[in-house]
Amino acid sequence: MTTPSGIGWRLTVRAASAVTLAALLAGAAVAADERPGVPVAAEAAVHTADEALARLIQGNDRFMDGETTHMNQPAQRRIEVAKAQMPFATILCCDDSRVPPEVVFDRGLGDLFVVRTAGHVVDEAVLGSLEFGARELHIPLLVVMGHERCSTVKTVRELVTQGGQAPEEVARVVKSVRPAIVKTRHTKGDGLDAAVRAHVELTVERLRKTPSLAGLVAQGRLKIVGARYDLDTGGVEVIVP
Amino acid sequence: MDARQRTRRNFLTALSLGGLGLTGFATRVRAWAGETTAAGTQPAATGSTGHAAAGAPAPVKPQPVTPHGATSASPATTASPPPSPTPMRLISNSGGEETPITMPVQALLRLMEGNQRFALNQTTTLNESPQRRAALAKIQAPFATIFGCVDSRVPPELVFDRGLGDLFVIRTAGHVIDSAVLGSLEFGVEELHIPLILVMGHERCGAVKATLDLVSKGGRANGDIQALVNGIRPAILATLNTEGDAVERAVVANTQATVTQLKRTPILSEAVANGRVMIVGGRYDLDSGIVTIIG
Repeated sequence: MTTPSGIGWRLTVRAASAVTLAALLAGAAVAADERPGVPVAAEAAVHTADEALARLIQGNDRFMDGETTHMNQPAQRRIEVAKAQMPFATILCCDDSRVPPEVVFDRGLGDLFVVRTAGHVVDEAVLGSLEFGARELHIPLLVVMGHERCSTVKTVRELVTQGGQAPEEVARVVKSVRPAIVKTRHTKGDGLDAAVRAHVELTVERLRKTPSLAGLVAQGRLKIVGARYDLDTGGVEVIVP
Repeated sequence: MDARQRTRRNFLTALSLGGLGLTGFATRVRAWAGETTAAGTQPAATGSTGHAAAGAPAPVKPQPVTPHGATSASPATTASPPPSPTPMRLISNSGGEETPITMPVQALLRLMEGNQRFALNQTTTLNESPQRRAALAKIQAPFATIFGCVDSRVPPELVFDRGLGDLFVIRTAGHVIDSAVLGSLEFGVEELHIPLILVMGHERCGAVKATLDLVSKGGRANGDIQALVNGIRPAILATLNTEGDAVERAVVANTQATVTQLKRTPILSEAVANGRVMIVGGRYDLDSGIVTIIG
């Protein structure tokens, strides 16, 4: 390791210690002062998938219009949910920094159970997480959310169309996105967007067929839908109802 | 004096009580990292500027990352305009600009500053506006990767008081690793040149607790949840006979084990060795809202 990096490490450790110690000391002093104008848990409880979806869409409308409320974000809410969580929706989406579900749906602490990987690719830990949310936390709705100009889909698309060899480490990601690329290979117009939409559709289809989730869907305890987030408008459109 | 002023005063008192002088420390870090020289309208300072500010000889310059994600030019060409697209600036809620992040330590510091605002209930609406969204529509340049839990009470964007385009976020229950996660983390390092990965566990983690119950009683989890149990089990076994709160011990051990595991993967270990990325562990406290670095 080079000298600058060495300095970096030492500084980091000291920075961390300083912040931590100070923060711990201050911990007792952090008051739950209520900020006026910020709504906290003034809503009715969500029982069904349709109620959950409606609530998400309402939040997204606020976000699109630049009229976010920062619902459930103040310290008072943090203390309310510290002992137990009761999220009303699960969001499986991309790790892209421009698609944070809490921001896009204008929600706060304790509202959304969020699973994120590149291109919302599903593997065993992701699947386990989704089942945990539905089975243990009784979350009625799972939204698979792709987004415009997804760089994961774009990268895989280039790889598939140009016939390159994927590095071993990202093989899982490539394998998972490839069917959507193949399906939309001859689509006219915006091929990338067609692939993004197809990838959402195929992911929803696959999850609905997964034994651990299919049972819950059949019992009416879980609804799985697909959506697409538009980076330009900020709007979320349900594309697989 | 209202409640918030009182809280703030208490917090500042706590800082000085700590004897570590966070403010002074932050200044030193910024000076070292070249932030003071790069403040204002200057784009990213190169690593060499930063070392000069700290009085270090700067023998080998790490490859800093420009705000748009490409590797920066060599020192000889830093005076020329940066390549297109135009580097993005982080826009604060006051309309001002933040210094672009080029090094792991800067990223960590920025996260900690945001977390302090969150814990003190003094959050901003940093980078959530339609203007910010429009500026980011074509390209992203996040400054940190957070690998955390799916728990609804631990959204990284809120906990670190950040907005659109700031954090590359990967989340699974108990931050259990699978190949999709690993591919995502590597994408962040290799393609987006993100200098920091923070693995963040949290107090009273439901996945850790469920695994603890299962390991104590024996048996298998339902369906695919078993994959989570397999991922968390080593941390449970490592802390099984230790004193104190069993869930709390396991949470910390699980985060530390995840950090270790990531540092051993081929791509990430190489990036760590080159100083291109730093991987650290953190613990989020559900009560105080504070993130503590634990390794």
